[in-house]
Amino acid sequence: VSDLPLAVPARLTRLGLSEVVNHLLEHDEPRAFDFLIDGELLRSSLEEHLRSKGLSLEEVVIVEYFLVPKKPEHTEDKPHEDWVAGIAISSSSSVLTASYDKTGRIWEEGADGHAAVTLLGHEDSATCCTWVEEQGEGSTRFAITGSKDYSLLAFAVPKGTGGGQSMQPCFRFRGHEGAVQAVACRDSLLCSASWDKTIKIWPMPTEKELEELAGNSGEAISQTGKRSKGEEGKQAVNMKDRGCLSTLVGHTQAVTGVEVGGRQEIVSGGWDHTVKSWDAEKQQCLTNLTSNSAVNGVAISLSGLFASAHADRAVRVWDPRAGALVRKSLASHKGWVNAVSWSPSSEHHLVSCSHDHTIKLWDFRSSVPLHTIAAHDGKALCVSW
Amino acid sequence: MESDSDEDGPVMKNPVGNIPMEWYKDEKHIGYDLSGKKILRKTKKDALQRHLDRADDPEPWRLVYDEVNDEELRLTDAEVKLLRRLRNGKYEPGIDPYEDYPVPEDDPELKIFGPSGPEPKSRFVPSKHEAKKIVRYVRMIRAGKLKRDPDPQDPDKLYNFDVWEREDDVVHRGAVPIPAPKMKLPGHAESYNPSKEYLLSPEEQEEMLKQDPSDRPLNFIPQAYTSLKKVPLYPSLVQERFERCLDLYLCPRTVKKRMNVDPQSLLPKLPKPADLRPYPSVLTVVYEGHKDKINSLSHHPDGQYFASASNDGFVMVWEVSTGRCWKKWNLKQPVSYISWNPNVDFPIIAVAVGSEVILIDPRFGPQDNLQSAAIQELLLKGREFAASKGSKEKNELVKFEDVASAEKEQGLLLRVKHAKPVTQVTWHHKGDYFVTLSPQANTKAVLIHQLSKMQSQNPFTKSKSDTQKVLFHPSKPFLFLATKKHVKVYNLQKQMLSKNLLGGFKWLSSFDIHPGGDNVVCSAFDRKISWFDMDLSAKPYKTMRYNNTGLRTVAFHKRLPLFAAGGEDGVAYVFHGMVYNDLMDNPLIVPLKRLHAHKNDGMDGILDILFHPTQPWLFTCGIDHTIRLFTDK
Repeated sequence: VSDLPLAVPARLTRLGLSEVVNHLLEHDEPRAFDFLIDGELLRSSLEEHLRSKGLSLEEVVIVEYFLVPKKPEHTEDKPHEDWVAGIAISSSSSVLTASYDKTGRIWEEGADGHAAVTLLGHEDSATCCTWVEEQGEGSTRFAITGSKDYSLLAFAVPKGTGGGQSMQPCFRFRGHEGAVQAVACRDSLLCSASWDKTIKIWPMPTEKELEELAGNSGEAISQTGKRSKGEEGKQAVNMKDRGCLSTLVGHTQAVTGVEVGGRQEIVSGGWDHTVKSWDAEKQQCLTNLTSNSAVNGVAISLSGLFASAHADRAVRVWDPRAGALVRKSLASHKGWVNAVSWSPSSEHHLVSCSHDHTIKLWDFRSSVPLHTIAAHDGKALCVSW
Repeated sequence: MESDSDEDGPVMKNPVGNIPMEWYKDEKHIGYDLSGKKILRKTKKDALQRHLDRADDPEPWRLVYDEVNDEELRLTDAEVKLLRRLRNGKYEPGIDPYEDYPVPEDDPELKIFGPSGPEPKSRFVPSKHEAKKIVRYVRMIRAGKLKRDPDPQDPDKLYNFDVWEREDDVVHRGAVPIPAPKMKLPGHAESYNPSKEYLLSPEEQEEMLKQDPSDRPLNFIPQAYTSLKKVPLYPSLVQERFERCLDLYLCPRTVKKRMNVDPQSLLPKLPKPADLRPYPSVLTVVYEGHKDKINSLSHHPDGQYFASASNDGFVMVWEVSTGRCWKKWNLKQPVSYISWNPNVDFPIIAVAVGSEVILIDPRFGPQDNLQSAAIQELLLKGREFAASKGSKEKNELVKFEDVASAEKEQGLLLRVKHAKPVTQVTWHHKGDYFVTLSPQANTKAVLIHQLSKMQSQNPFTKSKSDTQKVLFHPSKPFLFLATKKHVKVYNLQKQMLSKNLLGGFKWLSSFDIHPGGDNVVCSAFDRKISWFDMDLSAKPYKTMRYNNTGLRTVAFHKRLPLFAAGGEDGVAYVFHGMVYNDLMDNPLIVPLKRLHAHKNDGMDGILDILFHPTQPWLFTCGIDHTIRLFTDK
């Protein structure tokens, strides 16, 4: 579209403007566009928007346009027997879930309704999970699950495993004195948040260690499928207990959310109503953002913005450099918001899930959600891209 | 002069009267004649014609214009002469202005009042006395001692008198006169011809006459007359006037001070509920799973879990944030009370089931967790102590009994068997002692048990059978005991009654102690919530009535200035209850919110309420088998 100013009727809404742009671009098939005026999404007619900003209708307004993100479509159900508390997606789009039935599961695409791998080993319900993927040629991925039994388990999952196997852990991370509520990993930094008010940083499981472990016991990592209960105790010998590298203390109540951003930055949120960011190397709290309500989950965006899911039904987006909210809280959920996740591809989009059975897709420049997905019959507990 | 009558005077050609003739200036006529016709104005000569006329006339100055009759007159010689005299200040010829007054000489009255002699000289000479006076004034004025009178034209100096000044504004000296009380104005009954409803029937008259005169509503019998002139003289007129005078003269009067105060301004200024956030206001989570009414709630000291006790025999531990039942134990009998040990190191759940108290280890985390080990150690210590104490005493208060091994697997620890049903069990804040209440056991109603010694003691010798609830002081060795009428505070060290809080209750239902320990709030089945400040007095600091039905339970928040009461109609009332550290300020109590939590099933709505230990969240449980969590907005 040329840079020349266009005169358009002020009563035009998104739909009208979309028609104009479609016409200008000579699209055969009309597409929906969103429009951005001064960093804010247009959600009413042009006239109303400009009025609310106190601008004259005569002025030239620069309107950016871009394609509306598509409404996510429901593609697949992965049925669990029990509640699912955590979900993580790997780069090769394997889905890892942590469930209240004390197991983790890995789901590959197209494996209609059957878990590729079942991860056993927890003594209590698993609450959270994440993938550890090494850069480079490494063929083994690690699935980490955190549980209410105060520990985290690491499972070595070679690529291409599948077929309904069950798997025993290779490492156990012990040290928390409360239920593990969240776990996150990025760029060789693995950390977890717990009810004991701390965040712990753990050593990364590596393939080398795995080989050592296998060598010690003289037995390959179990991939032998179904095992009886009696053998489980024997398998536990293969597991190596590991302590934590460092502990971040600062929250005054349970830490319920943690995520790792670029440059070794950890962001965490807790029931003490704060969102904190930490320098992992110095073990220092960098910023401390206080809100009015308990935090249930945090996320960090590509551009370094924090998002937090709150018990007061809102999602808040923070700018850590300014130390303040980017905009008024995103409030549309009708229940407790449990988790929030930024889009891995766009720095404006985030998704949140709530006790009101819905998942909402947000563009944080607009206070109205882009899409609401009523996918679940019960409370939505965790969400990931 | 001749008379002014019309017949004698000159004939009025234009009888228009003595009016300004300019009224007719623009009209065509100059007036009306006697028959009422218009007298038309003559056509005026123009200036040239007038000039020619004057040139022709030998004496033009004799012409005079008569405006009234619209004609020109020519003055005669006599008139000119008269005018000249008048102009010179002389009278009309023939009139003497200085004519002597004719004094009749033989009038006797004039002789009496007339001058008796020649005028004295002093009347004609200027007075010396006045001259002296004038000189004195002049000197005083010059010396500035005498001010001249103010200028009467000066509006500021003018003396104004407010004729309409109100009497109230006048400042009275001495005693303020008290106006007489006004008499009642006559009403319809006093009318000479009142409506029929004001007239008395013969029975009514008789009844009225029977009454004492001072009790009668009217001091006369209303009667109707067709006209006012038929009204006879009022017979008791003199009597009534006399009594009125007696009233005015004998009755002492005082001025009644009327308070001119806005009643709204007398109410204490309460902060707005919106300024007192956060407080629970919206329903967030519903915990479902129980199959009968839920009697009691208690939370883990951390706030991650809470436990509930129900009539269906189950004790359930719930995860606060998700609403999931984390663990449950089937005790097969209705569970009446549950209490979680407030000490984090020994997270034991004590439940009252029938005539037993069962202790449960919830076993968080891994199987080899520290707390379970600590609990086992504590119990072992207790058992050893009990064993070393030797043989069983004869009249043992309670029996500590181990549980079966199958139950041990589930986490059950110990049964404490009482003689009579136990209604309540409460922990001491250190987690070693707990107190049980079984009202049917008369003198053994309240028992204190020590876990590390497996010992029990009975602090009271008298019967405590009407006890409703018992609680330990949050930090000091005091025991609070609520009976139906009052709350008693016992000092456990000195073994004596320390305070007795009287609230005038008919049936007290529950009470809770402020975490600071100096304030107690009580709820009663007689619809009252009473706040006692024990530093102030043993009487309630504030009593509130809100509910239509009785209140069953009340609870304080552990950290925030909040408290709540649950009613039998299923409504929870949330209050702000701020206690200040300095002794100068009294507690501030503000009602915040009504939460319609549970269905009212006739009798009981809410059975127990519980605040989250750290967040401003409120749990309620009730007869509808659910637990509800209310959080701040």
